[in-house]
Amino acid sequence: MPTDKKIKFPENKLASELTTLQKELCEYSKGIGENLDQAVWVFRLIHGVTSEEWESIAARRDLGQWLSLPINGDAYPHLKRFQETLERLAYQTDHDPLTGLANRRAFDRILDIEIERSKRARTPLSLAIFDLDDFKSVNDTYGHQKGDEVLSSFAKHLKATTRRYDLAARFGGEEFSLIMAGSGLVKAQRLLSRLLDEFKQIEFTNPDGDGAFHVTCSVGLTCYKGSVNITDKELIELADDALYEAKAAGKDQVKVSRLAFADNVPNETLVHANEKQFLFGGK
Amino acid sequence: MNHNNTLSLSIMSGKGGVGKTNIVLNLGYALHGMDITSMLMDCDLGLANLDVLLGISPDRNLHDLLQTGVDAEDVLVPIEDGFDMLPATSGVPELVEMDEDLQDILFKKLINIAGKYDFLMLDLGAGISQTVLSLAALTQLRVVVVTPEPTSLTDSYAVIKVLATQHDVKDFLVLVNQATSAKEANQTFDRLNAACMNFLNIELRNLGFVHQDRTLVESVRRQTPLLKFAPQATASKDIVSIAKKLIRYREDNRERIGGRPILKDFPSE
Repeated sequence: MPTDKKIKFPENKLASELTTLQKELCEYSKGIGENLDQAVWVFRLIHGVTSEEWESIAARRDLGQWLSLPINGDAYPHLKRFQETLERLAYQTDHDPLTGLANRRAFDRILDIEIERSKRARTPLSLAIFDLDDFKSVNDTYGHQKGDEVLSSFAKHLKATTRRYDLAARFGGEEFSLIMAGSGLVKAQRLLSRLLDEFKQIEFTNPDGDGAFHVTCSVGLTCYKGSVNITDKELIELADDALYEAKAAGKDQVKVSRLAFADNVPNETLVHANEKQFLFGGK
Repeated sequence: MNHNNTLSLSIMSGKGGVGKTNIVLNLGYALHGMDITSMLMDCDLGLANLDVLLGISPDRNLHDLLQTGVDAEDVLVPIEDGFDMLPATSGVPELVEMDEDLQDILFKKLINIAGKYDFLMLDLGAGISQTVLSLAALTQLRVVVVTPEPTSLTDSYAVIKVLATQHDVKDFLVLVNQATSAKEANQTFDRLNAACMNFLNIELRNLGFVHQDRTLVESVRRQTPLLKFAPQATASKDIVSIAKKLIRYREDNRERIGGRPILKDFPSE
């Protein structure tokens, strides 16, 4: 007999049955311990529920751990949804939800790889850390929504100014960072000055409808060339120190850190003064 | 491995303008005069002038050899019978720093033909670029050309120090060029040798010296090698005696030379 669409699906009954089943399975699985070969997969056939309806039930009744698949019919759309869920979760683990930039977790991973690449290939690697100037007062004066708009706008601008193989990330709050693989100091400085100049031209409207305001940004920049050993933590510290200097020097500017590659030019092959004196006949 | 006991030498100096290219070219002539075959390779990549000293302007050079389908025979320029040279390019900065891939292409094409000669001589550019250093480390022997000037002494010491500390190369022959007397030449060698022994723990070998000779200036101007232009000139005689030393070295070390590849890392068939 065809199911009458008017009859409400017995959600309560199903939910309690599944919960009981789940409990039983959990109890049972405690007994088998590590030996998964003896574990069982249980399929519960549910009549009269579409996959969309199931998802809504699963969400409301906290049954999300049950994977649904059609018995007759194409499994593909279901697996596709499953995959999309995984992709969304994977994206969320690596991206900042507000700006869509990489998050700190992704940044740490990429920086570690790029330092290693720079060390192996002796290619330059520049790292910039940004902090929007007086951002607290933007939030206090114009509200958090406006603050978020400023953050999104900066992120968008950062993304647009940099190259595809640069990595822009949000550290949290009003702090951002940029990994520029293959760029030395001169190139990086040029890019950052342009970025700062362009960003401060952007006009944000006052939500109270009264005039507009601008936001500036300070940057700490450091550069690595693979010639000495350095950790990701040390490189971030160098950029952070430079950022601190930029703030102290009056904000709205780029400051370059102490440079490990210039401080530590290898000198095992250097011809020293005493060697020259010896060659010229002195002692 | 090296059936013909080909002896490979790089001629280097650190400082430019000490007469390196003239030495290489005339050494080749001197060897030829004693029926010893040699191949000269202009490795002053980017600013070549071995061809200029010979008054020739070859159509093809090392640059062409990098291309697929071009072989060493297509590029080699015969100077005399059994005395050939491989010209380099002028004005191609991209070739000055020849990376290991380009060196690999080049030497794989050259190594078998090089094995037909008694001597393979690489005329290296001045300076301490990575190309100069890596080429110097490839050959069996290195001849450092030095003049009595303090600048030349310092630069040759620097190039020896870099090769010793970075490439673990410890054997060098020294040729003093443009010496006004035997005494001055010996003092120059002694000074350099003492510094190397003192600071680098390396003992240099003295290959001899070439007198300062105005005839050489004239031969360069005429784009005729000195040994052809003035075989009786003092400098010509000096170069012939150095060539004899090199021949003797090759004779005395036949087994050692034959047991090693002509160029390190590039075994010939």
